[in-house]
Amino acid sequence: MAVMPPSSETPKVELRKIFKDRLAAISEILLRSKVRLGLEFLGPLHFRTRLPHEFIWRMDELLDFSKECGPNIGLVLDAWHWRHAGAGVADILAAGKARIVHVHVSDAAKMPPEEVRDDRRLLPGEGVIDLVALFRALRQIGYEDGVSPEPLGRIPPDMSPEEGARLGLESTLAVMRKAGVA
Amino acid sequence: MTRRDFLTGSAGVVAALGKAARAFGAGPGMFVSLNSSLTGRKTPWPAFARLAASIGYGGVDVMLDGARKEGLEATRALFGELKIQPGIAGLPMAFSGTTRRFRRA
Repeated sequence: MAVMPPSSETPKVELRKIFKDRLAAISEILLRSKVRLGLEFLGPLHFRTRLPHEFIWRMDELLDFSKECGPNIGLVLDAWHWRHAGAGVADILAAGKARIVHVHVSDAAKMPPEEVRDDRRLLPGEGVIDLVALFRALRQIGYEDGVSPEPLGRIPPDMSPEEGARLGLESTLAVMRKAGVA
Repeated sequence: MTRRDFLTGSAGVVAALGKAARAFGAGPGMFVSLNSSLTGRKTPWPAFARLAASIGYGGVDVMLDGARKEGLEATRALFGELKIQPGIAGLPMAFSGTTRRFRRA
């Protein structure tokens, strides 16, 4: 996977061509080993206003861009960014199984866009993201790959790896069961 | 080693891992994959993979540097032993930097 920068020093049209050429070259190499690349869009407002030129931060736009780059280029669907980029179930259905490479899950407290920070996430089920709808949409498209809990900033530094891992698994499975997908 | 060599080598490792996991009976359907944000990035590979299996995860996000250091056969054997699937791995090069940096990578 790789992260798509949501803003840049370079104007969008120019940067789009540069990235497309690079990702097409990477696509060709990965195709030989039948490996897919997932591109992750970043939704929070502070990311896309950090540099002078907004780039690609919407799910539908990154989906279209990934299709231009290669048949094995798709998306990392991060639930946190899905919410903060204003995406919905329709975007998941539009992407389909072939273009969602991996899923990250976490949750978010209700807050205005200007206060959202990437390292203040919650565990799945602790916040307001409609993860049930997200998982049901994934089931509808036949998604059968990985779901990684990624609650950045939620796990205390003094928590043992075993405890943190357990918390991630239990909270994720609880939401998946609620959605009827586990 | 050129960027192309490293990417090709890493892609081969990831592809082989996927095939190994499926061959050892990893079933269909979504699976939960251990991510290092849950462990404070304190657990290195391959202990990280072993932790995932011991807790009951169906998969593990692959630490590609660690897996490459262990080697393809050892990593394939590890997944076979643990009976979990590889989740995701980071692209082992930057595509979004300057042209100079991309060419150098």
